[in-house]
Amino acid sequence: MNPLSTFQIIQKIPTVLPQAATILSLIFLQFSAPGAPVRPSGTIGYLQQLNEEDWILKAEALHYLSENKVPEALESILKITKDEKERSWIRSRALVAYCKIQNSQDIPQTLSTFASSSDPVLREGAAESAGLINGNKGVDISLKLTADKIKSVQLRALASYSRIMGEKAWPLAQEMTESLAEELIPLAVESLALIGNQEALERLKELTKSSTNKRALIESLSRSTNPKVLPVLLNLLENTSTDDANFAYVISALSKNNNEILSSSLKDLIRTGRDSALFVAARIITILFQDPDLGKELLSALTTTSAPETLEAVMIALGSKEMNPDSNTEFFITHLKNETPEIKILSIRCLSHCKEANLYTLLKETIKDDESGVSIAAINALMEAPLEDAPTGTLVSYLEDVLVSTDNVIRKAAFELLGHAGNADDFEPALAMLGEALSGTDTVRREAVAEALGSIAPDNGIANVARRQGYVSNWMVLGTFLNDKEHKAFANELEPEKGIDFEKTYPSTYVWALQGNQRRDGEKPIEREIGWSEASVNKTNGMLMMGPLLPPPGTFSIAYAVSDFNSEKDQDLFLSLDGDDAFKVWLNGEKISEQVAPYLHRQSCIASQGNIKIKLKKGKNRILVKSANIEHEWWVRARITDANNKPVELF
Amino acid sequence: MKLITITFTIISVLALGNINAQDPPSQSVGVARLTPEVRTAITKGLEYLSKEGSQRADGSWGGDQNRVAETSLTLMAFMLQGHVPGRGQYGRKMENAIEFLINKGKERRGYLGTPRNHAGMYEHGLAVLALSEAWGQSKNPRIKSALTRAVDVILRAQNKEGGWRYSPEPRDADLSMTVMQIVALNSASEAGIAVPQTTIDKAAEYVLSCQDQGSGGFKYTAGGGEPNFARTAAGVMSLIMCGQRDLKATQRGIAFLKAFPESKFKSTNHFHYAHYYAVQSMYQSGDADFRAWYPKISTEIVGKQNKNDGSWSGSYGQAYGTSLSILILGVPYRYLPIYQR
Repeated sequence: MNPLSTFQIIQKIPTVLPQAATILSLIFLQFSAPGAPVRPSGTIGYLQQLNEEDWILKAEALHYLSENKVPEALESILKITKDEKERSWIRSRALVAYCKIQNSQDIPQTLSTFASSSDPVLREGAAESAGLINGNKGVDISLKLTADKIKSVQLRALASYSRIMGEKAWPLAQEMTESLAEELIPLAVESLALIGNQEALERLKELTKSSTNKRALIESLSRSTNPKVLPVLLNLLENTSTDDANFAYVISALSKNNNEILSSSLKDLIRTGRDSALFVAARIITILFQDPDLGKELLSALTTTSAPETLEAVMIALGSKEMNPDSNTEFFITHLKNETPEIKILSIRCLSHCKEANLYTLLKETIKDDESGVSIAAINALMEAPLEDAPTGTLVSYLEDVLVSTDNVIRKAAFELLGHAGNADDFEPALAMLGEALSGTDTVRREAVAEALGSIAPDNGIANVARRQGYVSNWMVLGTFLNDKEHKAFANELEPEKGIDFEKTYPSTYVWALQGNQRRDGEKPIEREIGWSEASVNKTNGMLMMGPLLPPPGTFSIAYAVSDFNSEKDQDLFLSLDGDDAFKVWLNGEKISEQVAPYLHRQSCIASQGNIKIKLKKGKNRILVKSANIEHEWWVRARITDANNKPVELF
Repeated sequence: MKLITITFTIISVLALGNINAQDPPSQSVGVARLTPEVRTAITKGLEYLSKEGSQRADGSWGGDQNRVAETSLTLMAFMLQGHVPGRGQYGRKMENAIEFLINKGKERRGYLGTPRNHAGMYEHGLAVLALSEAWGQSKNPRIKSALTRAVDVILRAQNKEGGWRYSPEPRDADLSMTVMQIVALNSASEAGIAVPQTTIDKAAEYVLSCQDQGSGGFKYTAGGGEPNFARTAAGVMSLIMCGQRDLKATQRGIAFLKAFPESKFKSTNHFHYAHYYAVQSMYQSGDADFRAWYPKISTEIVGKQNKNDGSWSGSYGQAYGTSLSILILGVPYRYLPIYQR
């Protein structure tokens, strides 16, 4: 789209000007005068939303703007209240919103009009709004509407009257809240909560018990700021399942109270000693209000007969990082021996939050637990523990049971922990304990053990781990010779293939082309002299990584790797080969394999050929590999096994 | 110890009455000789930087964008030849530059970079480097105070991976910015400002994570980017400064630099930046490498000097190009602690 020319803009002025004025006024609202209160984000959107046709959007905007008391909305809202084409319910909500934002002693004309309207929905709006007028100017209207012919209007008016009059409203409320139909209970509850005297609260509790509409009840109760209502909400929570949506709704209502009041109510709740009360208190602490003092109350109220769910909830509450879990270490340690695996796991997790606890000491027995979930949780916790806590030099014996566990998952986790927390001092004991797996036929186990050992092996240990798995691990390497994307040099016979002489040096060339980017036309390859050098596999999975062994840059390159080894006898074995990008292999001068992987830019290109039957002669044998690389990873790997895929060690 | 040696050398020079700093006690340090052409080029370059109107009234050099960086480099260019703040031919100008840098730190709670400048942490690192070197030559206590606060900014801005990036906050990291902070911390540490070893170790870890395993070159971030000459030079230099000269990874980086074709040597991207780190890497790598490297780069740099005014053009202006060219040419002077082995 082309930008508008000045002329086009001038032409459009009549149409864009009103829109621009609106936008500018909205911007002005966002960046109002210095010192003005900061508008909540979204204000502009909600102001626009007041003009929507959709009543749901309009109601949402009214709610938001009144909750945030946005004075700029007053004019538009007043218009809605006066719009006779608008539905009554929206006009009624608009009046409530207007009075909330206005927050003054003035009674808007609309309120009086609605109060005497023949439309009960408008009267109900007037009844609710009367309670929002500051001072006691709304008393007359609300009192008048308590005698309305419609019960819901009466009760709305009673709530407003109670909001203004407080305890003085009790005689009227006593009369009006007796023998109510169930659907009216939530409306009555609001009045009783606002009155807040002993009698009103007793009536409130009775009504609460007989109501099934919990959602409306909670909503009514949450509109009261009377702290005496908190026990009612807590009681409701005790009788609400955590799976019930109302549970979260009560929590939300509780969150409107200040911490001091909430803490005091929770203490009272905990001191009842009821299992359900402890459960609810623990949940509130976890979700809403982390206070270590409440944690102490919880702990002292807990008994040996507490239900597992309660114990679990208490542990979750006490284990949270904000609850000073270190002060509850003994509690968590005790439950490491709990009969229930879930509780044991929870104890482990809680202990892992204790900064002062040495998990290696505490979980020494737990990692051997018969229940695999417990054992794995313990190992996982140790993975997160400070490395300096790990037993130096004795980690392998510490982990002995899990390292040789029959459970694959535990073993794998144990190998990972050994690799993570172990060091070179642990290598020899680990090799002694696990070495057998390296020469076994269980590939998954072999690779996991090799990886763990590789993580703690000293420099000279890597090749040893690889060799015990049957990988050819000691090589002589020579490179690089110039290759290209079509592998032409790979296809051609180069000098080293005509005869190996480790003393000989070779003229070679290379190009400076990184990551597969072709050199420029006419760019001359650079000459250099290369010779053979010793190399060991540098990964426990048997890979001979060419990059670190050969001069840079390693792209568009050919290299040779030779390994001489002895066989005790003439024997038929199997050779498996793989490499990135391409290889040719000769055994005792005879070519036995050639594989080229299709080139993929900046990706691994792995060629492989498994189980090539080979004949070894007694005495010295020689394997020669020609390896090619275009870019990215460059490696080769060779493994010799017997017919059962068991590694054969050759020297 | 190095610092003491340098200071002693300077004091000895002064005591012997040889106050002409352009004529240091030895022009051939160990392995490479400063040819008369190189010495003339450096002198002309310094004259260009000190000519009337080149330094601003506030003590800075350079354009509006990266003045802290250009001032830091220029200050180091003077110190490189043994000029001392407050003394001799350039002493006043150097003192003014130091004050400019100190004032920047005062304005911004120790941060010496330009706020909202993408290269802010580069500037900060370079300024720390320059002030550290200056602290070795002029025991102005204000320098130490500014340095201490500036180093603290770097320590606090190291991210979880051990690296640094554009702003003085521990967010993301890249190799180039990390190297700059390592060089700055190393220099500050040499000047006696406490730098925790864990910071250096973590920084080295980050640099190592940027090495391309295939070629041995260094990439822009641990996650990606193509390895190139400039990044590798920076990576190698920083690893050496972290005490990792003998590490296989460092040696692979040096091999990468040495294999870099001469045909690309002259026109490599970020020419001054790349060769500033490369020449130091080769110097730190050893006599044979430096002996082979220095003549090539010094000939190249001398050839690029504007013959009429003694300046060098650079990606960020004449002050940048001139001061970095001098810093590359002047490695054999070894007056700067950073040029010590």
